[in-house]
Amino acid sequence: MTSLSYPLIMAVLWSSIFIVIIYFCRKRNNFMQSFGVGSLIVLILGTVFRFLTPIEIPGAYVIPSANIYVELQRFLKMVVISCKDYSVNVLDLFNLTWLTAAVFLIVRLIAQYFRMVKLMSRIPSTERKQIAAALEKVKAEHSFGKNIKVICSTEISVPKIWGFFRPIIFLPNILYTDTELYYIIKHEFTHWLNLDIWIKFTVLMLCCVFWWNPLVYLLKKDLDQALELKCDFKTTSGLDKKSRLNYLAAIVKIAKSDLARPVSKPQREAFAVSEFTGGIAFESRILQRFNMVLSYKPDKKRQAVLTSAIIIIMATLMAFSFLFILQPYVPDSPIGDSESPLYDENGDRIIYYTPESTYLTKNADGTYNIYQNGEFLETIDADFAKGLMESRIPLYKK
Amino acid sequence: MVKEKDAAKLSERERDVMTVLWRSDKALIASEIVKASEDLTINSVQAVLKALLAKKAIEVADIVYSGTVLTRSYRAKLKAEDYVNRQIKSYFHLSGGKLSLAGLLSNLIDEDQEREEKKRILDELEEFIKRESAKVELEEVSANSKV
Repeated sequence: MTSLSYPLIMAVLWSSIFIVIIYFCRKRNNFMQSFGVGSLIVLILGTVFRFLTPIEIPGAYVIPSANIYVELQRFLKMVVISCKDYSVNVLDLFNLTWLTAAVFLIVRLIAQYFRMVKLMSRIPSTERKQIAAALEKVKAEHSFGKNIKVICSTEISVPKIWGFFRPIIFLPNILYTDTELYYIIKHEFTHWLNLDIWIKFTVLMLCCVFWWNPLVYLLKKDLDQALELKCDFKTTSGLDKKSRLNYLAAIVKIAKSDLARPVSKPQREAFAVSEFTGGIAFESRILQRFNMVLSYKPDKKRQAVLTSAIIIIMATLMAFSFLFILQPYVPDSPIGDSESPLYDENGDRIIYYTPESTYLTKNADGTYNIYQNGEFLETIDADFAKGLMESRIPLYKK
Repeated sequence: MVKEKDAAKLSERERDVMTVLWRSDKALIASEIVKASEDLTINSVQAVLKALLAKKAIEVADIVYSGTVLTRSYRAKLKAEDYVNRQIKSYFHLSGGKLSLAGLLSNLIDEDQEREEKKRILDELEEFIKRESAKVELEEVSANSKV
């Protein structure tokens, strides 16, 4: 039988709160323009860290819960399958389902990666002068000497980049102007340079582990948008308004060509970053990209100060989240000794009802529930309860 | 038209020969294919050409002289684009054919607007870009005329 992990519950609870905060920050153009996209990514990475650190630090302040947690435990300890000496409760079922699905999703993700690697080895680069010219221009700007594979295909709906160690750009097989192709390749390559695929991979793994928490998908969406905004900014940095409008026109063109394709199953390549149009979009996200490209004028010094403030706030919140832990109310437990052994001659655990470890609550039907160390034991009748109360077992009101 | 089943799978050597043919503007004989490639020998090219003919990925273009000897020249029947498209399609079929739990949930969350609505938004954005571009051009013209 498994038991409830209170540090894990706190990790999920706090991370979920952070995700909601991130969502509201990301939506606000004022926040994005003042603090910069980098700050948002710091918040996202901090949230991922909190998710992945379900630990209880020594000296954490315990907030006892005699109601919610106790009832939750009671529900989770309900036996659903019982067979001779072995029983399975609700918590066991939940943990088994969680683990099974998580393992399946992680294995699937890894299998996708290796399928992609195999696919890349089979597909030759698309050799066109227009692509080669755009590539050379982008590589020269970034002093990048290595080969960048570009694959054009009618099976690709929107531009994407793939590859942890070597960049591979996928392009829809449509007509581009030289300028459009340059912007698209530059945008995709910027994602790769920013290590966005590594960041996305981390959040994808989080989604595999905490698949049952709908908020992790919200985090993934906000991360995708944040990465797009960051890339838009870097790609259009230093460009005049006319060039920025041309950049946005390329985004719209790609989005329209994607819409013009026959409806088909979504192309799900977990490791590819940047669907150039922001993929899932749509109205609020694409408008936010337009706003940021056209009106974002960062004050670098001010932004550095505000980003530092965000980091300090995040670190403080993170520390705070470790300082408190919600647990069921647990009176002091008995210690087994020669007069009060813990096990009988058969090796079974002896349960002692002591005022320090046990308490009663009264039910509406006149029966009583016994709790020990915060865990529900059994329901007893009034006579038994009276006897316990005469032995100083406390009765608590719900 | 090349059958999908025949040409879907190419070995590494076959891909090397096809790549040479795809890059060439004209039909090539075996010795020309060897010269254009770093790793291929005449024996391996001959064997590969036979296999590719069987898969209908290439066809005999002509009978030509190679020095004083008559030989066949070959051209690609399977286009590079078609090969790439089929490989990618096959990948998506394997990766996206079955919905995972995570994928299912994310699709439910992502499906927020109809295609028509998206098209409307994009049309409006396109109009916006046209208007703003016209304004910028007008500003440039008036700035130039002042100078």
